[in-house]
Amino acid sequence: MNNMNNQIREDLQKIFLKTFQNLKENDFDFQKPRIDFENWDSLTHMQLVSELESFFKISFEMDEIVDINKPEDLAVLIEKKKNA
Amino acid sequence: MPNNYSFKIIPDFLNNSVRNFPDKIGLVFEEREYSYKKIKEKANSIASYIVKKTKKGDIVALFLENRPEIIFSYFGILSAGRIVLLIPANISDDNFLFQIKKTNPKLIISQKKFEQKLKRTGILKEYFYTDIDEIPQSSFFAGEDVSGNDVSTIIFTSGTMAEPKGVVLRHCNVISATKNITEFLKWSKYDIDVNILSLSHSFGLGNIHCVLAAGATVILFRDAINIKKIIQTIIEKKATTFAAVPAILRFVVDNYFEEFKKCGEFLRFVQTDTSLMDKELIEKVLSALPNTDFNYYYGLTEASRSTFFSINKHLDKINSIGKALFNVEIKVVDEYGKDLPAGKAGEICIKGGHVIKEYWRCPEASKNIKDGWLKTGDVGFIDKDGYLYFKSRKDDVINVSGEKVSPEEIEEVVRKMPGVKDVAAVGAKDRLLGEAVKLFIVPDASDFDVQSVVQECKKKLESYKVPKLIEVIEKIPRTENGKVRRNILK
Repeated sequence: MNNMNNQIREDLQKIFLKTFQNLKENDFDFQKPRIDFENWDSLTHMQLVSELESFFKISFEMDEIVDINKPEDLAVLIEKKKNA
Repeated sequence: MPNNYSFKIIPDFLNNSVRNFPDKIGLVFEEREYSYKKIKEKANSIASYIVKKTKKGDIVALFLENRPEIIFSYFGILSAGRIVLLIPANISDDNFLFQIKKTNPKLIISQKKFEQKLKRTGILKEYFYTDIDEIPQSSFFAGEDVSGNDVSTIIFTSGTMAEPKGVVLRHCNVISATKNITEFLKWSKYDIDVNILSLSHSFGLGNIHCVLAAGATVILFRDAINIKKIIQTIIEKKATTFAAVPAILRFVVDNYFEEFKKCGEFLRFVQTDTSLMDKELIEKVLSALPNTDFNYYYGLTEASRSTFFSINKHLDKINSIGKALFNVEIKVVDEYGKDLPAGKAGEICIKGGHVIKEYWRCPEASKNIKDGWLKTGDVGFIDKDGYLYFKSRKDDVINVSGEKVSPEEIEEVVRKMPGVKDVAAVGAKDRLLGEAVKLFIVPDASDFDVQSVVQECKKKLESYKVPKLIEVIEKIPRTENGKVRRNILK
């Protein structure tokens, strides 16, 4: 994994911790399924996507947004867009 | 629907369908299918456990996400003659603690992913908690004597006060509402419903009542995130009925219009609520589904769905929120409680068997229910043809995609923050949500960090209550009595 991707993952984790106020750093895992997060509902999903789009200056396709099932999915998507 | 509609208590919905269609699939969730007999067995297991742990009339809190177990538990608790306190999965810590302390449940049924929340709020220390996935299977449940007048469910809702109010539903209220809704929507055993709504809210739960009472099938979704899969499911399973809040319908028609059009081959109706829905959205839904009824209702947790109408059949009444259902009386009154004639705007009042009698230990709020009439706090008028029109909220409650938000609740959180001199919250028009929260702040100093307000609200409030817009101003306009003049801020 290159330095840029490391930075993306670090930033992504920070945005997760900011969006999910009660999420503790040691409870965050890129492989943790969306359904295991305490409060990852439709509204939080859209808030998260919007935060990520504005932070990374990218935009997600609708099909990408609805298929996000874990933080890893987001990391891969962002890496792909930033490395393109 | 049975001809005589002989249901007396909520569990009768399930019991009747178990008798008539024991092997029919009543519930589908993530490729798992449950026959009516299986749903009943699961509910009985929970009832058997509840009977051992609590007494008749005790409150049992149900804090689960959308999953089959919320249905099993709900029917199990009610069959055992206990009261269900329905707690939405997206509740804030403060509100959760408030509802638990206010109702003092003898048992909390929840799931592993919420254990941190139970610990964090101190609830785990003080209350008896059971993980739904650890309730032992048991086929024996002797039954309990439950009457139609018994309290069945408590659901908290925001209102004029900063504190949420507990809506006290009795079995008979729910039976009456289910009858009214089923008569209008003509739900039958042939229907397949796709449910993406939260079952901790009146809209989603009400649909479960109707579907199970009719002996139909419900395909339950955990949430509405994967809308593409939801649309595919409607097509693949040939679903006949679908309900969504306007924000989701907006998302669907803006992003999956062509796919949604294909659903029209199967969908008998789509239903939605009265969150602000603009004409463009209505027209888009109608053009996607020209042969499907687009049913729009007006209601509130205290009075379920009180009006309905099929917009596609009454395009001349497109701005209306429908006509009173059979067995429902609606009137509009002035500030002295006097009935107003057609066309005159005043407070909307509702009466009927589906209307609650009181709020949970809240005599002040219960004063809004008198002689069976519920004062809704909504302002509107009725036209000469009996159609109801919504104009505004009397009490400034903000309607965020169907979720009622009290401005005072948000203001209370922000006012406690250091550096905040004054604050006011109002509803601002939002294309996706209907309304979103807009906050006006008067800070003590010019270097006040507005983002800290968002962070504080995220900590203390549900996500839909977090302000989407914040404006710093010099002074909050108030009346001589100190009341915020929200109409100026809007």
